Amino acid sequence: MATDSKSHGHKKTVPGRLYDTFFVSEYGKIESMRAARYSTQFSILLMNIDGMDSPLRDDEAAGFVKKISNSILDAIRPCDVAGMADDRQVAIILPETDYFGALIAIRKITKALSSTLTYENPPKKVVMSQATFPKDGKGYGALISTASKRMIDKKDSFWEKEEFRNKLFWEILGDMSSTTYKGFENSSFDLGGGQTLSESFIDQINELIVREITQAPHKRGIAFFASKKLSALPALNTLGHIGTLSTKVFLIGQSEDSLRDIKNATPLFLDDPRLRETFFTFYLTEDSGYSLICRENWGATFSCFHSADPYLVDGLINKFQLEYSLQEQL
Amino acid sequence: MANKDKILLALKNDEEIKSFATYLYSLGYETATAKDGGRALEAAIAESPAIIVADTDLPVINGDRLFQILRNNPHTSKIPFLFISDAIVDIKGFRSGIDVFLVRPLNMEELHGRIKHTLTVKDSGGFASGEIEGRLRQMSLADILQFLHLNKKEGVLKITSADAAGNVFIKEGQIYNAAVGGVEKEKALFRLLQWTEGKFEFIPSPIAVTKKISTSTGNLLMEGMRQIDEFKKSQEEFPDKKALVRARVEEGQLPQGLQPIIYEIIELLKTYQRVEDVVENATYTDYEVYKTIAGMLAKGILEEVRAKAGDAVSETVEFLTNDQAISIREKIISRFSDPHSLSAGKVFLIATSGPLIGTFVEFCRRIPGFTVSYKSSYVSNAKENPLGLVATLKLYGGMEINIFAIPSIKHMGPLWKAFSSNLIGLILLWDEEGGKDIKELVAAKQDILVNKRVPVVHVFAESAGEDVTGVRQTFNLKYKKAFNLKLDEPIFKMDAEMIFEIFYSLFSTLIKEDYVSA
Repeated sequence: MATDSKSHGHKKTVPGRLYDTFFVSEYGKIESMRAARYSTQFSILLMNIDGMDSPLRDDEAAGFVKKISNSILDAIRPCDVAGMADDRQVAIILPETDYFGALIAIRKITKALSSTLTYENPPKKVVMSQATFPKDGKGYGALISTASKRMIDKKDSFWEKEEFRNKLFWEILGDMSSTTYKGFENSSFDLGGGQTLSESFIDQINELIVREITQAPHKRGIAFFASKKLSALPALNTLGHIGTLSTKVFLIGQSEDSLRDIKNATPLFLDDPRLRETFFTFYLTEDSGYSLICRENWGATFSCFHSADPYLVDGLINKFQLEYSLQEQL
Repeated sequence: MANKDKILLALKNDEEIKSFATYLYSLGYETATAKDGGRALEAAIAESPAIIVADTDLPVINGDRLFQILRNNPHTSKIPFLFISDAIVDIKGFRSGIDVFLVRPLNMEELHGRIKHTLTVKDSGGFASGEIEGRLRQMSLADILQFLHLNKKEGVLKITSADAAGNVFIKEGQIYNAAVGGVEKEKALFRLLQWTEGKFEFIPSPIAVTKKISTSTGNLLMEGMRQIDEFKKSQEEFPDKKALVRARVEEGQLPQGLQPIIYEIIELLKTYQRVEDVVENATYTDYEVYKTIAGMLAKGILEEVRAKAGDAVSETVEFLTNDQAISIREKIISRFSDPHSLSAGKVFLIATSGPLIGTFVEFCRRIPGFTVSYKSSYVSNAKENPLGLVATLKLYGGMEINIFAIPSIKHMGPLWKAFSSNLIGLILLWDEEGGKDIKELVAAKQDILVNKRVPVVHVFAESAGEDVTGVRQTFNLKYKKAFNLKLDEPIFKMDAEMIFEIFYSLFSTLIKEDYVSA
């Protein structure tokens, strides 16, 4: 009856289960064939819990598995299937879910599990990776192998290595703009008065991002441009003169009435003094991620940090949305 | 009838109602409030608000039930809902794209953004869909614009041809702006008016673009058609688009009070020599620019430059056969699974200095379909870290190869990885001076190839006095060693003769090798 389903609200109509490896892999194969047949997407997630330093006793282990499986099953949708990928990892199959949907699912599950594992000793850390059909693999095995590779990448990522998950958004930005990094993927540079790079270099980077967005208007993505004076962003002009975009563009800065009606972008006017001296750009797509953070110093010089680590971009966007009470969206 | 700016706030919490109402009032919205579902139902029917902001957990009638009742009432069925909840709940009949679901805590700015967007979508009659569409062969653009003008329509008219797309922004029937490729305003509109093949689609939606065309639609269309007719009549008197021209006088020598277009052309000639580039980058319409250049040539202000042997621009030069272009396209399609990115590939131009990029681009002008970006001079003037689009190479079938300058130094590494989607090749440029920092170029190449396996072309710019076989061989060996190249792998010399070879090498390797996207 309709009233029955309504009274249950968002709860699952059938209690969920954490399935075994055989069931999950068979279901994954069927889902791959179904997605190929109907030309749809689906994603798989892999989950590792780090910090299991000492082996658990059997009774402890049973309790632990029950606790985490309940959290996972509460966090996923009724149509999602969760089970063991192998002895040590959990796999979750998310039908009709693209890359960004999978990232949102990772956020939900990680959040649910982190509150469950808060008082664990030794402290445990949930690391999850994703792979999406058909881009990351044409079959279940290929998707698992992509997700496993990404799991390694994620554990090696700048975000995880610097333990940014335990820090606040502005704390992370402060760390990045005050430390010197010299890598191919994460790097620092200075610009402004007396430097070889001028302030307009930032505009060139932002224009490059807007060009990427407008070149593929149907491609999903998310971009944040935070600036002291938003109306001075040269990229705004381009955004206002093109058709509808699939990328969500947010403009962060001081209130400016002229920007309330800007096309293809959502202005978020935040009265935060930190935004007067630090500006940032985050851009995330299925293919890549880019983050740029610049802090203004004395004498119109800027200390900048930029990174191509997509996990860092995802993490920063998540922190920013949570700390400013914005909707968690990608 | 719905009250355009009235928002019904159906929230159980008094403080939340107060803060929402105050904030929305400050932005010019009128609000009605209800603390339970029963009163919200009454208010919704009596006041027909533009949008209902409803708590899912309302007393008496909950938000979900309120939504069902109002959706089934023909007077209120079109009112969009913005649900606010403490957790995600299922709402039956939720209209994706019309209704909104937000989870607490809320940011007021974001709430306003969502309300504004929802009202915009509602005003356009649901999610944008083509109200009027067809082919230009059946109805010319001038006729469509006149029709939209007479009916005082508001929205975007999209025009697509085989290899380009343009937009005309219309509000109350008046043309506010037009855009095609990199140009806008009258120039873009008059170009679009010449299209006879392609499709059009009018999407009714409120537009928020600045009015950049001040002429009335009637006059604008008449002027556009006049310019097109005049252009056709006078075409033979105009210089060839591939002709090279230069100013015979300095800008300072020109008398005051001439038409502004003359000063603009003289300014553009500092960067561009070819007529078509000047026409492309001028703010005036194509006809006006051609006419003015012809006039300036006749009066001796400009002179035509005889192309040097190396610079010869000939339409008869066949760069790639159609078969080769199709193979390149197929190769690019097979590399990228995103069906929407198929029409554009990307080539990174990594040079040890900006001026090298400028010189390279100058040589490339000989290639048919090669268009220099208006930003290229800006990029080429950068002593270090040249960054940005420098040129586009159009191939058969609408395929575009965008050539981007990207800095070579290590701390710009994140740019290589982040912007390498659709990358199909690398061109590395250096000269003897840049050769001192060859390690950075080698490192850049290696780092990019770790992420994307693409063909690489090595180009060395020799200075004038180095055209001695022995010197060249020494350099070749030195740089081949630095780049770890095999003996039969070429290092191209940067000159007009070799420019085709450079691109042939890039494309033929791309076609032959089984490159896999990383």
